[in-house]
Amino acid sequence: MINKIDVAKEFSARPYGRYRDDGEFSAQRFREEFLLPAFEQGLPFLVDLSGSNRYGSSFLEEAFGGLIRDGITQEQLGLMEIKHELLPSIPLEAKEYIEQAISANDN
Amino acid sequence: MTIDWFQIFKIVYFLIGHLDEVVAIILTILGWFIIVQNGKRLARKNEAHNLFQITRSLVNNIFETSKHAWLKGKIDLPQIEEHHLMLMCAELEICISKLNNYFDTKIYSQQITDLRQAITLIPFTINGKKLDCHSRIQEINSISSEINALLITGVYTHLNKS
Repeated sequence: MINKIDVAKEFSARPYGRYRDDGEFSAQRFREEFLLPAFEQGLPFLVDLSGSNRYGSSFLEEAFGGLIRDGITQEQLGLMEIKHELLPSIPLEAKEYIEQAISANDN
Repeated sequence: MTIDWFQIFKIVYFLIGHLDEVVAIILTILGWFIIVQNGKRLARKNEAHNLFQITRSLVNNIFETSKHAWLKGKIDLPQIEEHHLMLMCAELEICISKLNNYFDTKIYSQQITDLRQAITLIPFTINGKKLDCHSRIQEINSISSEINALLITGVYTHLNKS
């Protein structure tokens, strides 16, 4: 069975902010405490964003775009799947930030 | 299997004998069918129209709220306002996905993504250039107007056809 990170249940239904200084449920904390350990396991995993509709763009950029800045490779990114049951624009946006971070990294 | 022509003749003879009643039954069934179909069509049209009105006012509310928030905040968006705007964006996306069941509005997740970015991405950059609050508001306005235009075109073109 694929590992799943249920953001609303395991992290917060009210995520906010980019850095730890911005609040308790910041993107930086989510990335460091949930996403990076999941990549370290080397197994496919699903990031389920359903259950909350309050993902600000800064949160998504820092959580997902920040993975590239933290040294996650494109090959490793293949392990991660992102979904939201109701709002397809949210995973789309997260993927867009990953792409942007990759091209910024390449330049 | 052989055809019992006598039986068929008896049925036809009976139907001709009661032609007025047969026609009345057929007309009643046909009438009900037309009324039910028309009722369904009108209900669908009203439902879609209401959904369209809700969606349009949501787009306008998102623009107004974000304009006030950004003019006030200047650098950052307070948590409560960000959450409020995010909920409105989520509502908008759900309304548009429901509207797309009725019409092809040509509004896709990408437009909602662009709108959400313009509202809550800090810093907000376009082509690597950081935008100030007024340029951000202009961008929100331009995306909202584009969504509104697509809504009006998609919905009214279809409503006028049906």
